[in-house]
Amino acid sequence: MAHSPADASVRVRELTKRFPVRRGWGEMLRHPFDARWVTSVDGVSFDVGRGEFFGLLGPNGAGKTTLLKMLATFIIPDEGTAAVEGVDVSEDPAQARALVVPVIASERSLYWRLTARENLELFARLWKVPARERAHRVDEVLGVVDLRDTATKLVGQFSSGMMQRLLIARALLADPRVLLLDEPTRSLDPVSARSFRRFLREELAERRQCAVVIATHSAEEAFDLCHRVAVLDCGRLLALGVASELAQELAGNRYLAWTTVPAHPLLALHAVAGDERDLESAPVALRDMEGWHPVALEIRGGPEAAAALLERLVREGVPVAAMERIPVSLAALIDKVVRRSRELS
Amino acid sequence: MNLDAIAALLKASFLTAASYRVRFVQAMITSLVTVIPVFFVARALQPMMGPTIQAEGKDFFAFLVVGFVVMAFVVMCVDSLPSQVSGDINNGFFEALLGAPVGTPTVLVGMVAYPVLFTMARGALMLSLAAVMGVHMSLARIPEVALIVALLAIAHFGISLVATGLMVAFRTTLAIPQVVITASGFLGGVYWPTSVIPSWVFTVSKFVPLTYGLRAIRQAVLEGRALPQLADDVVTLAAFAGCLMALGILAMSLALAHARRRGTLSQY
Repeated sequence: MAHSPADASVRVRELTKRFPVRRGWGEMLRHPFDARWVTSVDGVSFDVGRGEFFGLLGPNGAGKTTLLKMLATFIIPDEGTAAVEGVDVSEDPAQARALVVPVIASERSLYWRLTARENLELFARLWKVPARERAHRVDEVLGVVDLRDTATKLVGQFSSGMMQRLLIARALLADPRVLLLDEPTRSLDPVSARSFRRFLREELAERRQCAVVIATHSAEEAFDLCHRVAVLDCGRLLALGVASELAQELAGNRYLAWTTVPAHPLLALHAVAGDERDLESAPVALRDMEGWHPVALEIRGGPEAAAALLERLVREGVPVAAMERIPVSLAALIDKVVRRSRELS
Repeated sequence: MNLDAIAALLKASFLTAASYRVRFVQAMITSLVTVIPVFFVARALQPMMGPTIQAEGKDFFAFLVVGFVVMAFVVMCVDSLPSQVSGDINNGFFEALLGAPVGTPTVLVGMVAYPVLFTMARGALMLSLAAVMGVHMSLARIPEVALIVALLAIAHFGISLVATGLMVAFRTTLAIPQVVITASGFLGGVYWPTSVIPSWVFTVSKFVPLTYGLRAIRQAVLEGRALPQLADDVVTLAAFAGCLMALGILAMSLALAHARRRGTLSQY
């Protein structure tokens, strides 16, 4: 999904945030006025289009949450600008709050002695949902997060995953133009997580054209849900693009072939030392087949060269059950981007 | 100010409080039970205290009951907001509320709406029982009392905002609520008239807003005095209310800006 700047729902330019470093008592007494600062977000710029899913990836402490909190007006940037639908979040935070809704992940930020429905009705009023639409909207979001059957149950009796779903439902009530999600499916079971992602994609992004900025460690969200991702480390934006393309770019020329003759000269010509991570993406069925062995290959020349090798193997009667490019996992993608950036600098 | 949002927060707080049924009923019963020992203590002290409260109802039981009810209201005004905000910062609820597009004043008023109404209901219960026990109150002076109570609330919520601002910015109230509650209790004329306290402390009592509010309420309710006769105390109290509320708004605004700069709005 390509967006022109004019389409941008979120526009971030050179956004920077520094926090003071907590000092010990001794140092504070010796140098009371010497403040030290750590840069949490360092000159980050990007645009997010309407209806776009934008992923923030990076190791812990990369600055993802700080970035989301600046967009949510909870933190004031030191430098740079961030605008939502043209509204600057620093200059007009009140108006920005009507457009941006963050999902607050804390389970304690719900009324535990109230039912799920009562909680949502309260927040529907806080988010100024018109009275005549409230009941319908509450029902709708309860359905989305699959809590309609437990709507009259006290929240204190909910499991952690159910509370997480309710927090998400609460954010959806506001019909936001921009939704900010910080690891939203962390506590969800796989079925709920899939249903939630489907809702995000179909309802929010496609139908309502809501931009979604999502900080995630989930490969499924980064590769399947996000149109584009930004990789952050130490507050700096290291890479920006389509997750699968970034992965492709970083994947190199490693392939995994399954054969009964791993020592065949044609294979030996390209064989490299593989490791367990190479097998992560291999189908379970192949791993369990007796007599078939995986061989990690380094094939230069792109997919054409790989296809040519496969053709030769088949022509020479070498049994090959499968041969595919070893994909880069999310962890490897982040790791590679971070390492590449550190080497360059 | 968004009244619908305030009503929503009030309802949520009420439903939460009412769900703790034993605690809810016990709070109401305690309010009533408190009046009975006060009645007997006041009767015993009436000969000694009577001459000192000639301008404030003459009856020491009535004097004490009104003092207790107003003091409970002041304690709630000063202490409820910082306590609530402290808890809500810890659990992330404060951040969730401030993320709503209704404005900080609405959120803060919504947070204290239930404690205000609950304390007023408890006070009304205590005063009703006192009336049954023989205290005569002038219902014709309800408008004057409402005005003075409103001014007391504004003055003490101003102090509360300063304490809440400190809580938001530095995670401490610097014991401001405790100092104000103690000073108001001992110097504001709750248990004895300010005229009987030593002269050097009497000077300090002039800086306690409750001194003026409580005296004016007693004179209105127990002596039946109208607003023109209460003007001195009401004007002084209004001056306190204006200054303290302005100070409170300034402190809270600075504190929120500080927390937003430092990223500590939801940091535990």
